Amino acid sequence: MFRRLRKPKMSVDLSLKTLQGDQSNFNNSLTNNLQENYHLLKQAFAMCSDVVFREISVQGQMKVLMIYTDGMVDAHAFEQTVLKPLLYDGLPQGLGKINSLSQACELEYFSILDTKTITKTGELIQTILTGQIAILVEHEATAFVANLKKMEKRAVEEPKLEATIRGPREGFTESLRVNTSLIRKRIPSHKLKMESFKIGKITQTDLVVTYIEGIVNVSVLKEVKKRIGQIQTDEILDSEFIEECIEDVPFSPFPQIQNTERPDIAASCLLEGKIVILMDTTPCVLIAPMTFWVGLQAADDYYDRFLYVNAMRIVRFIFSMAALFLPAFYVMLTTYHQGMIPQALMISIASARENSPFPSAIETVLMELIFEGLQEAGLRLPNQIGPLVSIVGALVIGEAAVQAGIISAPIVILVSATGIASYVIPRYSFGYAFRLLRFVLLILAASLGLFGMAVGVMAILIHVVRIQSFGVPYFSPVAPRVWKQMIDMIARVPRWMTNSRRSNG
Amino acid sequence: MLVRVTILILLLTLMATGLTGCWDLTEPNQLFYIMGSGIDKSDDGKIELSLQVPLPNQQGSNQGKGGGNPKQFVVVSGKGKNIFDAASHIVEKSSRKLFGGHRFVVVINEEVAKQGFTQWLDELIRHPDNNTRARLFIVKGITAKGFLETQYKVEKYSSLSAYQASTLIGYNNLLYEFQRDINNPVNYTILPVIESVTNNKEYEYKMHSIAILNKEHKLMTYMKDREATSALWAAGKLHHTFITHYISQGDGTISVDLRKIQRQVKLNIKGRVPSIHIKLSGKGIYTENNTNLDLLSPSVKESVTKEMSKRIQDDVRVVFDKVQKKYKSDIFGFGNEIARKHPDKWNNFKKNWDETFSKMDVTVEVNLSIQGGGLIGSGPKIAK
Repeated sequence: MFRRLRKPKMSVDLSLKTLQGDQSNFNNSLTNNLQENYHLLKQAFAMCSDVVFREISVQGQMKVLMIYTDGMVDAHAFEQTVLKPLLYDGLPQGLGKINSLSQACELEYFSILDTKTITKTGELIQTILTGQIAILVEHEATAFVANLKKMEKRAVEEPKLEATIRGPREGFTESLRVNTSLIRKRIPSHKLKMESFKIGKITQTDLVVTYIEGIVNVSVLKEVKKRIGQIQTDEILDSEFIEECIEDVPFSPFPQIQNTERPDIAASCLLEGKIVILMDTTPCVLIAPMTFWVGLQAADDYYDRFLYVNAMRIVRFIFSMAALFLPAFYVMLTTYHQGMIPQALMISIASARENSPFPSAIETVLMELIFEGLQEAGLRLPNQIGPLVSIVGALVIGEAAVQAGIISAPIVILVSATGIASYVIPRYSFGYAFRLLRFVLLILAASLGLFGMAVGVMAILIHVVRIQSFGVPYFSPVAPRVWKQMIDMIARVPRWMTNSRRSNG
Repeated sequence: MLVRVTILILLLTLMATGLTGCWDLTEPNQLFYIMGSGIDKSDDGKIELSLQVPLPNQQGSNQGKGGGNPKQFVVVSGKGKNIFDAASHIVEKSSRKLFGGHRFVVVINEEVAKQGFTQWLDELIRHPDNNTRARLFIVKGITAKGFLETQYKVEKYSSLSAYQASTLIGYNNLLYEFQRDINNPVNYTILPVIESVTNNKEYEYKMHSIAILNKEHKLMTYMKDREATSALWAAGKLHHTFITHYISQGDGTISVDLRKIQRQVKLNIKGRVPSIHIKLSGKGIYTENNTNLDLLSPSVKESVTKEMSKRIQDDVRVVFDKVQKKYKSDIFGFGNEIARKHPDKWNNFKKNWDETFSKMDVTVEVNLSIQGGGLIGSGPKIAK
């Protein structure tokens, strides 16, 4: 029922057309007159102080106009490959033999890898702004564009949120080409296809959809491409925008598209038959489709010894469930069903609650809120104050509150245990769902006891089983049940024991 | 439109949980957790119900049980026509609700037991919160209230110590098992007894006897020590036991610790009087050897086991004779076996079962299987 709400209408009218005056200018072609072209482009780039116009006279005869964006071009390479030949007559046959610039390009007189000729003004403006150098000549209605991009980019380093003990430490960066190269070097096969799109009317961001032909699920691929094609927006700044636009159920707390910053995870997902979406200017790549159980797997599941990994999976599962159910469970048992707790524990809890003025439910909600606040504060803190706040949080809130008789001790233990348990969930975006739903379950358990909690759990289960991620049921292989994939999901067997490829979504 | 409807539904649900929920929310510190209940006879036909309830210890960061022996429980009691009536009188004196889900024991004074007490068990089974795995005891030599009020030296609550002791002696009677037994066709039942032994003004308790209840569930008689063990074993209710006997071969006593105790009943109901053959078996180890026999050698083991079995057989034989002739009550459950396996024939026996039982031919066979003897075969040589 939420499918209709998929496309958000962000209609801020900032399109190129209405930005600067006359529409007709930018759809035309360039003219033969260099002066006219010069004035047109100068008008387009008025007040853009980082766009440089450079005029040169070649041998006193030709006037050549070069336009580029400062900071985005490799000036040195350009000087060597284009300026020098032009100015110092380094061309083997001499300039006189060539009649036009386009002829020069055709005959490959400039040793540049990536070149292009453009005739439309609008297109020329776009290419200048993406870091390419435009060269215009008198008496020619074409511009010669050389791709000599050189921009500041971050070095390839380990992503902070997905660190592993063992395994590669490379992470994606903000440059699309670097990212595609990181994937390509792990899968040097011609079947690894990379289809590119441009999204965003103003930002014109490059998007690459990668998949391995032959392994990928064709219907899912079609669906992904269709949804990307349907995105109509002016700006894309992060892959989150795309994720929101192409998700099946945007109102679900559970993410249906996986995101990662590690190329090894992306490569392994590609080999499983999934589709990876890379975007320029962001290191987060999207992987579709996703299931619930992918959210509970970590990167180093396949890099460590399998016995240990299986034990850790059990621990991870228990803690994930604890992160969701523990507060609700405690409140429900101690206020509605005291008979279910063994005698000694019950007496301890009752004694601890003697001094506390709040009812269990209110206390738990309060402490959970404080804990979430602490977490959020921890994200924004500068490094110097970080340890101080953790000490303050632990000592003041935990210890002193218990001593003062405001909070009972079991609640503090409970809340910290839940907080730690929620960090065991390997995928950070998946953990959001658990943290949100914990509150819902808590309120249900506090007002309706075991019945409320059962209803809450049923509602979550029904929701999770119903939603699909690009046609793949979210809770598979448990529901619908596929035995082979389920066994791989539960127990990680050594590689020499697996015959068939791992699960497809 | 759809979003609005969804939000509306969510808001309504939220309000509904606030309005209709929480009606039976009880904080853990608003309850009295009943550890043990005691039933006494009180004047003018009423019964007195006593409840042992733990005190919440007001310790925040102090650890440990208090230095001396501060009392960690309190006993509240009330009189009434039945359990619920008495409980309602207790509530008049107490500040919290009563909660019976954690009950350890139910203790019944022998006076009450002599007059029949099973009608008082109704409330303990009826309420869904109640714990039917509580253990049932009969108290002798002191009132139930006195027993609950005693401060035990080792455990925090006397009901807890009774609960744990009954596991050690090998026979415990759970409330729901008792309730099942009294509904059997032959409903003689056995209950363990807590006997108080006054010792220098401090109460001490022993659990060494059992009480036999007759058909109306009134206390009939007691049986002590070895008789009790044999009776329980023949009835099939014993879990484990320790037996010490004089072994003539070695001219000394030998003790065994038997763990896996079983009873098999073979019925032979041809004719007007049935005959029964019982096979009692037990597996255990030798725990003490006061003879010169080497218990590690297989031949010695075999002969000693045989003699031990014979002695136990004699004990059980004695018990059978006593119960059959003197009490004429089928506490061993033979009638129930017949009723289960041959219900049509049981109809013939039903009417005069007591008479039939007293005339029945019962043979006993005891098979012990003693597996180990510890580290040594025979102890230090004994001078003769």
